[in-house]
Amino acid sequence: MSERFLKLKTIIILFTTFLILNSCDLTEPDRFYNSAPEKQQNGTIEFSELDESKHYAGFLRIKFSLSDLSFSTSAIKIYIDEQLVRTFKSSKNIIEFDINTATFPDGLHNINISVISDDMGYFTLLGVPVLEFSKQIYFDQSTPEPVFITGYEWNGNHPLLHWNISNSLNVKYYFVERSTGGYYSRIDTIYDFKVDTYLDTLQIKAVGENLAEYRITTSNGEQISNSNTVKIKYGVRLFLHLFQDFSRNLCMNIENKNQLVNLATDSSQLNIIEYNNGPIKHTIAGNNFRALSQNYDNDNILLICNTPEDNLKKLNLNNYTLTTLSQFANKLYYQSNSLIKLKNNRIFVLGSEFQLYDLDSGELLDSKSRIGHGYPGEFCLVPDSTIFFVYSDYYIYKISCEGDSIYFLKTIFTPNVGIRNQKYIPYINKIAGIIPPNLIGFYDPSTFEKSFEYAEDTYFYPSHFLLKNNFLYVGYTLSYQTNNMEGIVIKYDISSISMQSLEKWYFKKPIRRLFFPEEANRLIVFCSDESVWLLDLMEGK
Amino acid sequence: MKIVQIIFVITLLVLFTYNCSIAQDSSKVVNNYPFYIGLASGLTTLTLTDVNKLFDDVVMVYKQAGFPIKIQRQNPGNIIFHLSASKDLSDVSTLGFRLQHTWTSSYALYSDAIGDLDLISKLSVSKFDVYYQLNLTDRFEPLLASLQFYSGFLSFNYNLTTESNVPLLPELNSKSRLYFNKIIPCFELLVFFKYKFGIVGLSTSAGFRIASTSKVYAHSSQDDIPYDEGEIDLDVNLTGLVCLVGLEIAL
Repeated sequence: MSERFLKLKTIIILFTTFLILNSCDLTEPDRFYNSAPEKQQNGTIEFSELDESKHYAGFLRIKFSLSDLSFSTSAIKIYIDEQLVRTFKSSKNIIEFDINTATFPDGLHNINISVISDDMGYFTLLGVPVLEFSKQIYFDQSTPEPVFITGYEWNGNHPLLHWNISNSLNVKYYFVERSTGGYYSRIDTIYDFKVDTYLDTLQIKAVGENLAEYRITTSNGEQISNSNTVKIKYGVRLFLHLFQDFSRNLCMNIENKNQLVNLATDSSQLNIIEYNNGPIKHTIAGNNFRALSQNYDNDNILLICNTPEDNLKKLNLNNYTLTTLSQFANKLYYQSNSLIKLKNNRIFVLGSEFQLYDLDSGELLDSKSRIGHGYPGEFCLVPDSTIFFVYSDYYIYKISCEGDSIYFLKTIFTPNVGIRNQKYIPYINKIAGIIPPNLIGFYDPSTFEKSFEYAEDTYFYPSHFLLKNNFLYVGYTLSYQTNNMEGIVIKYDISSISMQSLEKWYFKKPIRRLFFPEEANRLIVFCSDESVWLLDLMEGK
Repeated sequence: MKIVQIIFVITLLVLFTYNCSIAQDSSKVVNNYPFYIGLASGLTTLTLTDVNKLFDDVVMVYKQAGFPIKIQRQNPGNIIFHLSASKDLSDVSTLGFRLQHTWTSSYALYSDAIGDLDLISKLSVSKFDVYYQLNLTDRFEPLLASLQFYSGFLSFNYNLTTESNVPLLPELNSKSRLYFNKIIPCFELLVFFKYKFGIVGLSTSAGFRIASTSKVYAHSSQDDIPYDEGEIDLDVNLTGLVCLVGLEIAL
């Protein structure tokens, strides 16, 4: 029993001693001294969109981020010189705000960033910074000097503007402005004042003399100054007029003379149009012309006339004199509408029947009946061959005029479709033609089997095409307006059947006919609104 | 809380009545029961849940303001002074009264290169109460185990001061005070062990005190000017351990 009491007594004494030594509230405890604010604090700052080489006007966005801070922030104070302009009481480290630089005098100013810790006692309470950064910026409210647009070029299908940049250092941005109808609208903003080009990807390279007008407005955020203006165009308008532009029998392009021979539909006059240096129209009236030969040679072109005694005439393309080929007097049928000159001084005439004549003597060498009597017909010659093709009344005839006879090598019927504007393409040894409504067909000249056909788009309707080397230029009518355009010419590489599209030229109106002048890389395009355009195919490259 | 107090009082009265009846039955022995005067000192702990929470809340306000303030001490157990007078009513019961005084405090003292900020709370409790003791062991044994039931009043005095001292910016110097000062009824149940040493009258005792709680309301002042802080109340909870060493003289 006494042992138990002794243990208990010992425990009580020890417990009491423990409480006395550890718990008693007899003296004031040691004070906590916070030495953290006096230590070196670390961090980095990165300003965005602030360039010490620039001057600023108007409202300025100040944006910076703090990183690698050795403490967490309770407030960030921004001073300009000694003036407190903004306080952010948050722990976020990315700060973004606007100041109005106009409220400060022009000149150099210091932006001071004071960073206050959130855990440093009176330093936090009184906003004493534990880390500071500064940056110099220059305020300048003067009106910026305008840029000068030096010109433009076509870059692909879009205009690329060039200008000399403004010499002012307070440029905030350039506004690219475009006018297509009397007033300018801003189409883009350029924030880098050193940029001196702009590619307007929304402006399609369409053929026109005043597609759009541009100016570059220089702004310092408050004031603006306008540049000079530049009009963009593509192509040169030619003031030509075709009286009839669909039929080959009524219009002939004389490539080596830059001339078009065009027969008015009322047969009243023949117009010779030069398109090289502006239109010079030569008119020969009163000869009751009916059709032009679909080819020419030695600067002469043959013409079928309505008058029996003057059935066939020859037009000298140098002096525009007409000579009656009297050996054909009263020989050609009234219905003779198409004519082609073959090798060996033969002519092939398409009237109510096919006829082969000797040009010198006017002797009828052979004739063959044709099927149908309607559509005049189009010829397609295979160069240096006596074989050619005739399309008439939905029939295609493959004909050989070897010797003094006409041989029908093959005749095929193309019901309800037809093929127009056939051309022989030596590069691939194919005959190409437009198959309405939207196909271009390619035929093998020996078998006259269709090799392949191509459609650019379901709603692209080919109206005319030209061949130049291994490039095919096809003019289309667009059934639905694309970029407010109704016509397009597309250049294809036809070295393979993939018909790779190389380049496009948009037109405001549907395409009627294409012509090549003698000069390389130029193209003349006739549109449905009777506008005629001369394109430099190298422009913008 | 009132229900608990009522139950406590009723329990105390029942025990007292029971003990008196035992005393009447053994009248021969009553005259042998002396009257004691006791003087003791020791240690006591106080639960003070609400008081500590109030201090924590005030500290938190300053932490949120950016002060990495630390609590150096928060209402530890402290010295208690004890004066009692009692008379055994029987072998198993004693009736007496008691005077007690204790105090404790909390400190959160902060300094940096600019100034000082001191959060100090001081609490003192003085009690006067009547008690009834029910012995659980033979009262002549050196180690006495008993239950004590107390009923009386206590004076609760609590001051929480916040003082800032910024030498460079005297306008920031301030001292605010939140104080509670009230006499409130108190009831206690003390599980008590007392050990009598061989030396006459010297004893040591320890126990666990289960105290009733009471609500007190605050007064405030700023730089000694009272102002209305709004109603802040505390539940005073004095439950805790108590250890005493003292003299008990039989008269």
